[in-house]
Amino acid sequence: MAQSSPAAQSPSQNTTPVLDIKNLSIRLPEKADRTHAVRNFNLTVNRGEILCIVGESGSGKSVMTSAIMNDVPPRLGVESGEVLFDGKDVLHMSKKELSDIRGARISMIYQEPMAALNPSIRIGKQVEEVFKLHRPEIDAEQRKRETIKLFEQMRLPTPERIYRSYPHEVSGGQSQRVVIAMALACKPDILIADEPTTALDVTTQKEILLLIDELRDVYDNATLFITHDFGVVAEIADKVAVMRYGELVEQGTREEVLLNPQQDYTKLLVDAMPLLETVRTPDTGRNDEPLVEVDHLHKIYGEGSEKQVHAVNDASFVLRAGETLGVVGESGSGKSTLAKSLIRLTEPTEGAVVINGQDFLALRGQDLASARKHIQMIFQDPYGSLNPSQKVSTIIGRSLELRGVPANEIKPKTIELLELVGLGAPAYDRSPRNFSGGQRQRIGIARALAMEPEVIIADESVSALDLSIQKQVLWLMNDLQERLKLAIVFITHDLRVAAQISDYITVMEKGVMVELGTADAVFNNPKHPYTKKLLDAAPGKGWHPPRLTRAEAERIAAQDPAAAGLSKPTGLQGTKAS
Amino acid sequence: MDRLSAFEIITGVLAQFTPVWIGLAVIFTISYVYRERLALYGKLFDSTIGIIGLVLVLFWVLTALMADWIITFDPLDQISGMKNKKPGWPVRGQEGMHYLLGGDNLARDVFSRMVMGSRTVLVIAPAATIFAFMVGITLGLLAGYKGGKSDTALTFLANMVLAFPVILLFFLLVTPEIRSTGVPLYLAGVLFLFPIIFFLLLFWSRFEGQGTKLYVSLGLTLGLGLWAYSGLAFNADPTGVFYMDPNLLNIFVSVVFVNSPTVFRIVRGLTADIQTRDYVAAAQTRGEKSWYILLWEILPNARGPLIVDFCLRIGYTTILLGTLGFFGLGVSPESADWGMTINEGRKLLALYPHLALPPALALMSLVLGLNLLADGLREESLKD
Repeated sequence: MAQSSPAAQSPSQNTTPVLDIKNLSIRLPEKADRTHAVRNFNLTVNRGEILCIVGESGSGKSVMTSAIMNDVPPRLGVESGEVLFDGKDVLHMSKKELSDIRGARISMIYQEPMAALNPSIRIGKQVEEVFKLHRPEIDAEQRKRETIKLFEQMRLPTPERIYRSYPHEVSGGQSQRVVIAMALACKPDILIADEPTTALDVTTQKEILLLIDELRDVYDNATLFITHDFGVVAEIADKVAVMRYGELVEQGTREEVLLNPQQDYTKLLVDAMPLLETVRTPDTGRNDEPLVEVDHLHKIYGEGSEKQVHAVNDASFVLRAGETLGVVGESGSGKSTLAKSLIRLTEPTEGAVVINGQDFLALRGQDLASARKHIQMIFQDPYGSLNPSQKVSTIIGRSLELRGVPANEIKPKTIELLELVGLGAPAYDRSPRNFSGGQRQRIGIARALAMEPEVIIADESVSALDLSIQKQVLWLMNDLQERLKLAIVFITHDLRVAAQISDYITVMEKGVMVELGTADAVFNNPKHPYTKKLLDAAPGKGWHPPRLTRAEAERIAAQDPAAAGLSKPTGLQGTKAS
Repeated sequence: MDRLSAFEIITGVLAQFTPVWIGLAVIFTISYVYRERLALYGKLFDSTIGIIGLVLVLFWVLTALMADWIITFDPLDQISGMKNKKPGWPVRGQEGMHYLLGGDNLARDVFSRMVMGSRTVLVIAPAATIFAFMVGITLGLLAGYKGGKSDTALTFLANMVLAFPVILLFFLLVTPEIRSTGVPLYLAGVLFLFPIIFFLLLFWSRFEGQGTKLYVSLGLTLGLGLWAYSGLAFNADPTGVFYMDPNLLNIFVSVVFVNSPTVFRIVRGLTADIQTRDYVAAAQTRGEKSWYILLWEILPNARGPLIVDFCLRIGYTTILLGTLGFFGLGVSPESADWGMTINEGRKLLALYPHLALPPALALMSLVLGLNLLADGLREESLKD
């Protein structure tokens, strides 16, 4: 097999590489969509360096890193290549050598901090476990001292208390710090971080990124940082390696890759990096009848004053045809509850929702069923939102049936809808599992449109998608909104995504809408300190990577051999935590 | 004429099952060729355990279907001189004929009785399990989805039935005093309604507002359902097609009654889990009725665990029927019911083990097959 990696070896520096991957190929099982998870992969990493590995789901980045620990899943097989750690091939080490290295000299941080900690053991004990295993010479008292010292270094507040706590008693950001502390306990030479901030809120993400950046100087180790987000790359990387279908597409310094990408695929990825720049300016002087009027809406969960949670606190806004309201907030801010209350998946405690001139909250029974067609929802999880035991024809056709479309028109109309979302007739007879995440989301959009709604609620509808797919789905929603004059309530945790589609933006914190204004005003002239904090934490701020025109981006996307068929390769999506 | 040797007995028995071997070969060839298109059933061919289970189960299903061609003597015929004779004993006066597995204490052919016994089990066990599933699914969906008071009430009821000793319940249900109060009949009246309710809800929720389709499906369900209902529950079918022996009805009702609470609990749990999925929310936001969501959105996605439990439950029911037969609560005193045959053979076990062993092995292999099949199905359905 010919060496096909187009990227040049990184410029050699005076330091010796602590990790040197040479010509690594890892086979996939026979029935997979491609032959190799990783193919002819070369990479060198030096001490004191943060190398970001960027790739979309199924690009083989997780399998590649598993080879560094010689921990490739048994159903895959390393076909050829070497992984040299300090000059010694990890792939040919004995069990004893490996267990000395793992956790001590090469360690790993995972995406879900909560899943990486054992819920029934106190945090302090779990960290001490690492010392017990790799530094048996130190005694119990010293172990505790070392652990507390580590916690202090991780900037954990009240280290003594955290030492005694169980994982569920600390926040997500704190438990990620604990996981990092465990990984760094033995001062490893290589730290592998697999999407360590993806599950965290932006403000927490920023703190963790700062921490990782600082620790690199303290420990002088090499950090392999796996991410899908170029914003994060811009914040933290020294060098960047772009992966696709298991191959190295491009590699270079942060500035080279972000500002002057060479390969088409890199250009597409860089182009898909969302920026904190608004694109829409709404007409604030409109006087026509609003489509959605929300007035002093409250949702309180639980009973009794102590257990009550005020999930939505006094939300009010109006939205007119063709406009988008972006609802932005961190987890627990009440944005999803707001969405569910609007569409009555959960009953609001107080307040009014008027849709199309009708008091939506007062409707009961058949009236409610028929009024529901005015407002539809696009869900977050492309895998959970389509019934796996139904075919696309049923998923979309049922909505038409409910609307009373005559039986003989259902099939042509369904196909029409599929074409509208860019899928076409071949999708009609298939079941959801034949589609990739982005395509599933398109089916979800077609299902919502089948009811011919005036209002659409998109609850984190693009956040589970790869960035390039995310951009395509956002374009689609943009186009559909223009054609059908939809009002969209767009809920997202990501300010950068909201910027791309919103006319108005509201920022929610602990159930309260702390700021509401035109996208322009919120982004460029934020009033509330929380908005300022969010804007400040958005990764990739201040970077202006080259943008493609839409035609160019679509041309590159179309070159993708997999995009031509219906089914995008899913690769190893099943094996990674996503 | 001599007694057959062990080898001759084995080949003789295997030869008697020829129709079953042919049937198995045909079914497996066809299934294997089309396995790609057969969804879960097709994938079973990847699992050795599942295939062994399937072979055992199909063996007994085919045996029950073709029992008339397999038996060597009428299972009720008593031939003089054959009482408690050893396996392979020649039949006097009939040249070349042997009691392959010997004769029982009434001089009947053990082999033929074992083969015929498969019919009782393979009709009653699956039928009773299906009825139990209809009851359990209908109520379980309701309780799991709505929650609240109906859930509390139904769960309490289910727990009560589960807490009552099964064997005692059976003895009570077949005691003449209890029977004369009509309790089993009332139970049948209620339990047998559920399949009709289930299918009415199924078609109504799917075809509501679609005119002809709705009326035809509801009409057919009601017509067929009530016809069968009148015959099975009250023996009032004027045409006489549907009929259930009062003794059989008791057993049947009892089996359905003790199995449905377990099914109820499984379905309730699955429903509570599946209803949190986004596709259920999507159905709610387009204004679907509760029963549509339950039967067409949730139930199909609960099918994996339910199919597995169905196989296991037929196995339990088979054992239960055996146990009942053993305690003399069999389907009818004359029948070749495996449990009853084992009980009769038990008395002479030390002297003549060939009386009890064949039905016991038959029962064991069928239940083993069902369990292995369930394991195989579980394994394969988890791979998705």
